[in-house]
Amino acid sequence: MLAIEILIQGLIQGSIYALIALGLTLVYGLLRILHVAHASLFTLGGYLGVLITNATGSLFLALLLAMIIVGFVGMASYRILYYPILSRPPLIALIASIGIFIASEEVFRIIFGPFSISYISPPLQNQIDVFSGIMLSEARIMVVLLAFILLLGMNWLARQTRLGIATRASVVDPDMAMSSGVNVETIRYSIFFIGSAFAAAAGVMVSLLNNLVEPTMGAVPSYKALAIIVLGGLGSVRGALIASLMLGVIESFGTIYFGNLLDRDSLAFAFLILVLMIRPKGIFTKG
Amino acid sequence: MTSPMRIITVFFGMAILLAFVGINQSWNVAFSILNLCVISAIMALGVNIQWGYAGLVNFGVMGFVAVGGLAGVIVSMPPVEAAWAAGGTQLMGGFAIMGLVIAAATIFWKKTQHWKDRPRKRYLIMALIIILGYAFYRYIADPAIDAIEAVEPAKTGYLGGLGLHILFSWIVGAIAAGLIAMLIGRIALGLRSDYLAIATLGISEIIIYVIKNEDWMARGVKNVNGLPRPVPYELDLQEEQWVNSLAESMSFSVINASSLIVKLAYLSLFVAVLIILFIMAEKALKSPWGRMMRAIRDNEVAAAAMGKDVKNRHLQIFIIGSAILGLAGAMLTTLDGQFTPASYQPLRYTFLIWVMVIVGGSGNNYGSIIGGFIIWFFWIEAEPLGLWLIELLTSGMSADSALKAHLLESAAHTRLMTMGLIMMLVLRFAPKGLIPEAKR
Repeated sequence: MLAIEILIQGLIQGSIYALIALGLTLVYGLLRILHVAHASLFTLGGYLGVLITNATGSLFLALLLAMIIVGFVGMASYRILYYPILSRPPLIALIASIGIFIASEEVFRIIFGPFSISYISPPLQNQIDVFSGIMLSEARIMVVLLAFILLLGMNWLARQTRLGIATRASVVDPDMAMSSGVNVETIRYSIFFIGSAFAAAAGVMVSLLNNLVEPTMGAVPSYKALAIIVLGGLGSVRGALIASLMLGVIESFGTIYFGNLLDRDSLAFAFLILVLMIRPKGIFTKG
Repeated sequence: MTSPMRIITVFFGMAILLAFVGINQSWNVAFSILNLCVISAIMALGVNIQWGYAGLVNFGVMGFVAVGGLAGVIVSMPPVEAAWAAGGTQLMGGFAIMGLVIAAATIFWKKTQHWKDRPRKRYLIMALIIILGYAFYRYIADPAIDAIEAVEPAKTGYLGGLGLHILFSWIVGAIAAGLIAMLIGRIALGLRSDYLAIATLGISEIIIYVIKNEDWMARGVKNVNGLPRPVPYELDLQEEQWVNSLAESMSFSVINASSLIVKLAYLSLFVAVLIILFIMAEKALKSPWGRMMRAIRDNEVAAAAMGKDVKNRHLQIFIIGSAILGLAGAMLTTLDGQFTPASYQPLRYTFLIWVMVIVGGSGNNYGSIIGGFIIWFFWIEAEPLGLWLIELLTSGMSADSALKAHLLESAAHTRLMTMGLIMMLVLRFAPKGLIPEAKR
């Protein structure tokens, strides 16, 4: 029974990782940039979620607004941050991105204050008996459902719409896509919008689970998401999803059984290094 | 050559900035900034050797610096006899077992390379060796560790060090960091630069985690204080006749004069190291070896086609750069006189050092040194500067405006923002840094 509970906790954590890692791996696929500042959009999403819910009383509205606003912030970050340095080696963009991520932590501190903020009346806290005695709060169930819906929507977008097909084409071969009339800039903006909106959703979910947002909440996801997308094979969406879920599960078992050996946040890297030694190109890539 | 005028101008500007602090705040502040500037410059030199010479991305600066700091503790602190008696030998036995297990696993792995047809069996036996060996190690080492950590936990609770002179730790720190770099390099250097960046970042997190949790090594988060110093103590200096007369003639207070003398003594040690490293780095850069490195950096495939051993050269330069980082870490711990694992944060070490290299101009040793100086200077002075800037910006607002009060309160948080901004501006407008790499 305990094992099942740990498994479920791991899957919940994993679906949050998936929402964060998705945007990251999409951006990497398109631009070959490790977009560390993605984690600050996650934090921004968390803040907006708490603040809007506290102001209006509706979590749904907060989620929606946070996703839209953060989506636009993500587009702006592409235009201001990455667009001017696209021609430089990718490492420059990586370091610029880390710079923005760190600066944003201070911006959050200046705007929202250095202390954590909580929900006035935390929504969705009822415990539900899922099956035979396993209790989960509504918030946890909602996390999994939301992640599932968003990822399903994403899948539909990627497979069925012109935008999705054009995106996949530009990931595979940007030059060829461009010469076939795909507007690469539009694609990049929309990917930044979608990825950032997903990160915001993850931020709202985490704020709901912990009933807490603070300026430093992006610190751990910032590097853990990097580990995830490397595990999944950089740029691969499906790989990132599987790696997220796996990492969530491994972490939740690891903290219980190996807690005295390595803490939760180092486990990801120990696992990563192990995988890099055996399969240097990620677990799910061929060859 | 980069135009010497530019180098002179930039360094001269730096000197003026420090003098400005000296006159307006105090010379003590100016010299403590300068001391850390020199250490930062050495770290930047280490990263520059890896990134600027060979294009290797090392995001694990923090880990190597911490290893150097750990060396400071292990070399200089006196051994704790009681802890050694309690479990020292047994723990060493545990390490011997660990070494044997690793050796056995390596030999097995090497010997079974032809087992292509039964890979599953190979993995299984390998895992069995590691798990059994690890369990045996824990069985031997755990009671020993518990015994060591139980020896006066408030004061010691660790094995102590070797009781040698602390300057010796600079060499040991460099060697230890180099050895770890060799280990990491074997795993990670074959990877693409993105992977290397993340792998090194992760490894440095793990190093810090181990140092924080293995209390028997350096007391973990309980810190080690009162490391022996290579320079005299202020209190002893204040008793000396010549210090008193010097203070009188310079019209400083004796306390001020003694702490200035201590800082100058540290500074001369650090500057000596910096100069030696700098000359060596410049010589290496101009030698055929340096040319080969640049060739590898600029076009690996072409260099390999010319018969250069890219993989081993990468490993070599990764070790050299990391050893310099370890040296700087030991120097830092020497200066602080204490080892505080919790203070190792990727932001303060890894990121800041990278900013130094990039702002200064990568591939150029002058650039990384001046980058180290400038960035450290602004890192320390960002708070007064931020306060001043916010006061300037809000001077138009009425004195009781809530926004103004909020902004002034937040001035303490502008340090990182300033760093981020400086770097963004430099990347945007001088992408090659303040002193760009010379065209050769």
